[in-house]
Amino acid sequence: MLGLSRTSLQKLVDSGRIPAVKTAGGHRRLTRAAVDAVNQKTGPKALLGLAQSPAAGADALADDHPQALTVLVVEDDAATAALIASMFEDCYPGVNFLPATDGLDAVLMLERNRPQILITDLNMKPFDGFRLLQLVTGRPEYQSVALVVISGMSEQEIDRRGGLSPHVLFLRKPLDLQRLRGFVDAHVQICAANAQRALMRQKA
Amino acid sequence: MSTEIDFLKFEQSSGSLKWLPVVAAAFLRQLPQWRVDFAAALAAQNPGHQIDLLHKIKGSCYAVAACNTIEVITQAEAAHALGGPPAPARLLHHLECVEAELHAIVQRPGEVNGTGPAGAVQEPPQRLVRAK
Repeated sequence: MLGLSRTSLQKLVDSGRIPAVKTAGGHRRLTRAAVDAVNQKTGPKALLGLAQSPAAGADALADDHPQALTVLVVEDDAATAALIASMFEDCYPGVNFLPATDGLDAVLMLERNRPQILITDLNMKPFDGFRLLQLVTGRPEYQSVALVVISGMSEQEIDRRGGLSPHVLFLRKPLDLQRLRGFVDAHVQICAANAQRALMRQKA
Repeated sequence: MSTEIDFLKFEQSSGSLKWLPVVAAAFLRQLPQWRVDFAAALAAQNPGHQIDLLHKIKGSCYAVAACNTIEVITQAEAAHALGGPPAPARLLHHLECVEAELHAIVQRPGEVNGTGPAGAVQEPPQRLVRAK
């Protein structure tokens, strides 16, 4: 349909240029609509060029979204989600705030929106935060995503379920929004600096 | 005067009381389902499910700074860890008090956030609605 080899298509999925979900067995699942959208936007020849270009990662994120910081918040508790949403609404009007209610919802939104920050609860059903973090940390195209966990789970329980990566910022409930704001502030500044660099590159 | 919702605690942890009415409205939307689920877990004598629900409710209580209820849930969790019952009557009583206070906050948000009388909170912030 796209005139591409399977390897090229896999590269496009892995670099995030075609939204898709990877199964536990490593198979890529993509919707017809996603393929059609990319095909219509770029055409098969341009797609082939994209597949042959270097892998995406952080640079691709910065290039695709030079101005906007996108934050994906995965929380099944409506009250906590409302609190975080209110904070973003009031304090970060320029940030793209995306709410998801469980890990599976989040996986699909990750593929579509490429957030720079992922804030997640741990105890969710059916797809919990541990599985989500495992998926995100295991894929090269998400290495640049900053990870924040908010949970009321005890340390023993977290350890029992496999623990958290040292790269994850852990915020225990009750959630201290001031700490979360400090973290987001830092990323807003990084994003602004990236946008500035992109602008300078364009001028040069 | 609120006895269940700790305004000072909410303000300290979130940074602003003005968000409390919206968070309270979200809490209240979940409450009927929790009651149904908790009653079902009690009827089924399923302590694991009861504890899962308590954990969920506690998370929401943190969001609205319902400190007394958090204390009751913590005691119930500790009792469960020792093999005891979760004392549902006490918890349900506290949840009723929390519900009444949160309803008052949602109906008169201006009294909480210091902006004066205002209409009831009915809708979550715009961006709580799924963007894509």
